[in-house]
Amino acid sequence: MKWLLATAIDISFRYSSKSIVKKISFILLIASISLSVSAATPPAPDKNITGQVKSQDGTPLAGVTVSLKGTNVNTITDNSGDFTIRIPDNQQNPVLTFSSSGYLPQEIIIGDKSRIDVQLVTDVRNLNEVVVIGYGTQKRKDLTGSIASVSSAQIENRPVSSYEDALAGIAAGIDVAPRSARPGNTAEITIRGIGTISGDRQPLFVVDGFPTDAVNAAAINPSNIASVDILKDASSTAIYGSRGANGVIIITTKSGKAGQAKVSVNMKTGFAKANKHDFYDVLDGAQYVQWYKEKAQNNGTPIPSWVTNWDGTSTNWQDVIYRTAPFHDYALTISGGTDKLTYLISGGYLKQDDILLNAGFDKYSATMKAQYKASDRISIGINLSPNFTTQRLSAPEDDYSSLTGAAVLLPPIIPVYKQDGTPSDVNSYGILGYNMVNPLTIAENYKMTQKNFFLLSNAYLEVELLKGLTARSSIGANILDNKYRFFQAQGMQGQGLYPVTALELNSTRTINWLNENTLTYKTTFNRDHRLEVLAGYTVQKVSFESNGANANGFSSNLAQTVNFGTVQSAYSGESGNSLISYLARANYSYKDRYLLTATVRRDGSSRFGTNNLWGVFPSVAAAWNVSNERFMEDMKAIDHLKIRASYGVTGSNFIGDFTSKSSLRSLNSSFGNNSVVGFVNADPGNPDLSWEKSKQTDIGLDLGLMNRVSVTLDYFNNISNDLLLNVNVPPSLGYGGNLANIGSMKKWGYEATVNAEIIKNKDFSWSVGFNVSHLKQKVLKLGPTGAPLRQFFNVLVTEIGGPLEQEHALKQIGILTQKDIDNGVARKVGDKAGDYKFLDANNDGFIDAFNGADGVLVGDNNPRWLYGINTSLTYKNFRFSALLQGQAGAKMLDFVYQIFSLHSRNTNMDTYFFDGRYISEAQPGNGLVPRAGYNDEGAVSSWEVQKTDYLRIRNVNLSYTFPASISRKIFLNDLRAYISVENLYTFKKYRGGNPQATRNGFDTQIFGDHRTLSLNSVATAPLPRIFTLGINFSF
Amino acid sequence: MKKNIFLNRKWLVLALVIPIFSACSKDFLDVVPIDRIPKEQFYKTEADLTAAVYGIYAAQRNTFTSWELALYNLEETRSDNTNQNYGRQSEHRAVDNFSEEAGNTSITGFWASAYDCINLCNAILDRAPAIAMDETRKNQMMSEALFIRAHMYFLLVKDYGGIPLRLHETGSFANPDLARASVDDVYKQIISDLQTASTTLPPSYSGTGVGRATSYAAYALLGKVQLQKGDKPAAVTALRKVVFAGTPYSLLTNYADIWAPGTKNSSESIFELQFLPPLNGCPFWNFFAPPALNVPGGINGGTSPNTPTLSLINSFEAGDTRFAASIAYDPTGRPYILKFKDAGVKSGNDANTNFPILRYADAKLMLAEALGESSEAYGLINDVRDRAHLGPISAATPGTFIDKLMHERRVEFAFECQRWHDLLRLDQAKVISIMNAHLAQEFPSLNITIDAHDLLAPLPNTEGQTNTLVVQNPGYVPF
Repeated sequence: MKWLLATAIDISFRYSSKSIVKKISFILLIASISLSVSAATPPAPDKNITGQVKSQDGTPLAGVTVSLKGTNVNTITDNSGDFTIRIPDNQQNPVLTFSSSGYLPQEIIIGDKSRIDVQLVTDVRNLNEVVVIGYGTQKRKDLTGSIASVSSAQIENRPVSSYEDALAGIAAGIDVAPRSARPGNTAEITIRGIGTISGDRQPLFVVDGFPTDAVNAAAINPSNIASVDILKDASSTAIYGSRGANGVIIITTKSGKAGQAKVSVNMKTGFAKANKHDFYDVLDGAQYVQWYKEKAQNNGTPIPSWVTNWDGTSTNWQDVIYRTAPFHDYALTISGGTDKLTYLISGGYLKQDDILLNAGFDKYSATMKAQYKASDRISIGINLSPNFTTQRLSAPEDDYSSLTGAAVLLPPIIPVYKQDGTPSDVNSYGILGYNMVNPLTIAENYKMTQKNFFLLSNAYLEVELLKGLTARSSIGANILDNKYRFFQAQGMQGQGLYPVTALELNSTRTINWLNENTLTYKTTFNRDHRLEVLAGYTVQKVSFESNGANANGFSSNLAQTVNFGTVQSAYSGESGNSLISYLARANYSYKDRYLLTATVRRDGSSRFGTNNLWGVFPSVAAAWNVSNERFMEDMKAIDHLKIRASYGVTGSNFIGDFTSKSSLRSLNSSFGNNSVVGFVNADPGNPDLSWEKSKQTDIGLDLGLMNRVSVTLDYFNNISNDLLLNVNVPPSLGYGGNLANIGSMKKWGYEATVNAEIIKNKDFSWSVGFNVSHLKQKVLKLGPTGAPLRQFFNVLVTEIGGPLEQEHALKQIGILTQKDIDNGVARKVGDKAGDYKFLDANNDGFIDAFNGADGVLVGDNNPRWLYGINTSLTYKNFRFSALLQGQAGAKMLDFVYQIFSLHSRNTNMDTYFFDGRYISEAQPGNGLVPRAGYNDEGAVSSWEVQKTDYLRIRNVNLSYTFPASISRKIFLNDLRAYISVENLYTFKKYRGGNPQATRNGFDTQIFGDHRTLSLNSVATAPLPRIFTLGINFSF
Repeated sequence: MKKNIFLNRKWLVLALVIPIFSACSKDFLDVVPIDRIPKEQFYKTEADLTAAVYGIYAAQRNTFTSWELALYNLEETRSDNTNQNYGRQSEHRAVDNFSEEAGNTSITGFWASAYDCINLCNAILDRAPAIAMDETRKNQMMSEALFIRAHMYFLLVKDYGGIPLRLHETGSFANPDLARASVDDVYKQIISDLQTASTTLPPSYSGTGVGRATSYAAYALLGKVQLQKGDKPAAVTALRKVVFAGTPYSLLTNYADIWAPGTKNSSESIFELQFLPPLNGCPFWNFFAPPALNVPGGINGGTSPNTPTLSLINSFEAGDTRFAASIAYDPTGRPYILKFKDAGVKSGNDANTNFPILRYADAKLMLAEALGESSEAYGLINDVRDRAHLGPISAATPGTFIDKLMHERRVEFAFECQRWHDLLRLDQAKVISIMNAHLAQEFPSLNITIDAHDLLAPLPNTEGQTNTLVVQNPGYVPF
């Protein structure tokens, strides 16, 4: 930071603004920074025009470009919306144009006016919106591909710890799935559904031009984000070649703009709470005792003493593990500059405590960005963004020992506390048939922290070699230091489920180097032809190292380093990969009517087999701006109509760095008490390993009506080939399988986005937006035999013709009655009346094991529909907005129901198993729920399959913008206060907390830390409901 | 503009220089791993071969411990010695009650880990000849590979019957199909490998080598193989190389010391699986410990899914000291397997105990079995009984010789992965009736009975679905 300030001073910013210090002392946060800023003083004018630019609702607009038409004379409005522009006296009939992103441009003839006040109208069509595409920008009207854009306004007022939580429901085709919903965990983002069977599903994340990953992207302070552009089709992603197949998310952070120094403050404070509506509805004490009494009676076993001696205790353990957790987010940005140098410095602090005890997340972030125009042709810039995050977890993510798992499974007849006020030892009551731990004890003793230091740094040099020809080189590094630390304190000792005190340490460092060199040529010829050509060469190198150690046997909680325990193991790892790319793109436009884009990228990656190091990824796209045709001139109602089509091939390179190489790994062995290191086979290696390739087609339409309604429709169809799959080989060959490019699948669907300004009056406006996407997928090819892929005890099946990870289990068709038994209905050995009645799929008169011959496909967890609804109402200075978002068509195999059914452990269960249960032939219940203590607690069956359809009121926001007359009195240029509520309510039938939860990587993916798509096993915590009060102001 | 011309040039040069800096050399895409060994650079030196040999011992141990003791499950849980309790481990339970299918993880898991070990042994046997090194040490290490490969094939042939006999390292996946060799051919290979190994392995090791396969281990295993195959004279020949006056082996005085943490590779041990915590502790105790004991790191704090049967408990004679060393009762009165206990365990799978594969008591009882009813045979049996503080038996003792011998083996080797194949050496009708009696007791409501096909496990579907030449065992769903 000092360096940048010193540079800023070197480049001789003069300290001039008289009020700056006073203003800065306004907030003590930056008291330690002595800042020097200046405003450029315009030279003496030939004729000065002054004025103010406001929006329709009267808010002064800063940063509006005011230019003299046909010249390069221009200026920018200041924070009060004011401008002064010098008009040379040689101008005939001078005209001023006013333009700003998101507003319709306006032209005003100067005539003899000396003051011009302008009100800009919101541009619903956003045609002139600047869209960030790979290695450049384009105006929306010139796009040929499918790109959704999210602006800072849609992110910065949301109480979220990362931008991704703000993306859900905002744009069509984007699924943001909070798999674990713990603060600090990244959500899984997929664009237009999943197009790979075993590979990485996430898009490529590009931050300020730097290709990185989801974790680095999530580290960015949301209030620093200027825009998020989501590249969905091959026309827009092919420029990222072997990493573009899953789409690309480009995050652009805010930059300084020429003008007076502007200090912006964005403060949010509030709290998060769990919504009781999202709790599991578990049995209370009386229901629990009744159920287990019936179980004993039904099975002819003695009634347990804890049933007969029940003392009336009825604990809902879920009340114990949740808390009201503070949420704070403060961000301060200082930006400004001259026409030569612009800068932006920001700092932020965010604290989101978890609604679960003792867990939470902190983020400290900073950005330093400067751009210097060394001459008319040369500019340089630097961007440094260090972010530091800490995540604390207070329980493992596990069936029984997660706080939520313990809370739903512990018997309600066990009290939370002992008589002395300390947490009870839940095993000491003689009830549980399985060792568990009081969740308070877990939360007190399980201390896991992840500390991440992120640094994104990038510097560039841009030279205009000839008119229209620009060369740009950049060098940057993206560094991630991760420190994992887990300490299990002594309080858990003797609790059975856990071993003794333990310490685990792990450090990783990932360094991602990048050099990019591009040449861009822009020209217009014969008036009607616009051409922009890009050529580039980039190299990227990633190195990764890790090391760690485990120790146990600590005799004290006071010292928590390995030195105080017995070291169990120590390890280290190193890895890396490199990528060389050549890229080219041409954009051609004729009369703004016909647009053509052609892109090609050639990538070479160290990850791939020696026979397939290089791959080529081309795409072409065309668009027709119908509304620019003469014949459309009379159709005033249609102010914009464009038809787009694109086709291209992109790739996915997410495989292990060395998977293509045949190798050996170490495996410790011993003789007597001497340890030795043996070498055994690791990857078999495959020199033919190559990219997954996705052939993507997109056909789209953009329509604007009466400057009120905008519509975007897209159809897409992606066929992925060469999908990486583990080809099963006979295990007698000594290998479990061989990774090869053999799979193929298709995903296709439709997207529609409609935005309408229904009412737009001076004082009152109302707008509504809606987006929906319909997603389908089908597996086309699986290995040489086409045999289905089976995971998780053969319960999850991916087969040709179906979607990914279908759930395969017994299908429940009712509850057995005595009549069924007498009639010899197919059932499992030992089943009697009141037990599950399953479909005898193979008609052999018996019900086989859950993963056996009677299994049928009972669903899958791929959402068919994703949608978002937003609306905003503005009345004078008040604004109300709401965002709703949801999904439909997915069915999760909720293994929590399996665990509820392991009643030999005497754990608690959802009231699903109580209400409507079979009691007797006279009281057969609802025909779905078996008797207490039913037979076969271990069968995976259709009754565990839960619909995950939901509609969530994701955010509501009520804000008040103080009139300039008030804010200026306290030296502020704009002042806004708001109340924002995140995750207000979720409409759902799913009985758990988070319908998008899935189980952490288990028995499933070949690489990466994926979650099983269709399976959830841990009782899930709901998304936090966050109430915040926010204030934004600048001066 | 003019005054900026120098400045312009400076920037221009810089703009040209930066890309040149990064211009790639061919090596840029050749990232060499240092966290693993590239196979094409390995198997070149004696040190490489030694590390590969250590690898096969580790892989051999894996076959016993992976998939939650898959092999134990196939060879002990399946027998009448233990019950697999309800709840968790339903796949283990399926093996216990003979309802397992070809996809059962014990069936697939043990098969895969055994062949992984075989492939590593084959790599040594294929590649060692080209390594320039001391020929004696090379032959010794190749014989260790032969011994371990023979052990793996012996385990496989007993459980599955005829199996694909793979004798060379897997080089590619181009022609993966291989039919099952006949049981006889598998035994021929095992016997030939063990004969070679028994003549090239050293009789003993010193220092850090103690625990590696010896010539005695090869003879003892050969004896076991011959006995299982039914060639008693050949078994006698092999076992007499181990049981003879002046043998380096003896029975430990205290039976419980065989698994005691301090007595690894004792004078009774001919060959055992080597465990050493913290990295490679023995998992058996964690698996068997009952919840009531709160053993740290027990499977879910010890769920004791596998417990001794009543018939096993009842078969211990009064005064047999082996009972207290093998079985105990938890505070709720439930019996559990005590044999591999290490009171010092701190977390999961870190017991510091070895697991016996071949021990001298076994050699004695095998020789007794191979000799058949004779005073020498009773003498051998009585050696073992004497250590258990039991009086001698003789031809006059009620019961057939085989019944008495099997009784002795059952209590001597309880939970040591011997019982199921001891039963299989009896005549088929007898095994089936013993097992049906056991199943009626363990699963009274299920009415499970077994027939001849159940005496072999199904071939794993993982093999059947990928190797078009293998056929399933009779009585199971064909591939």
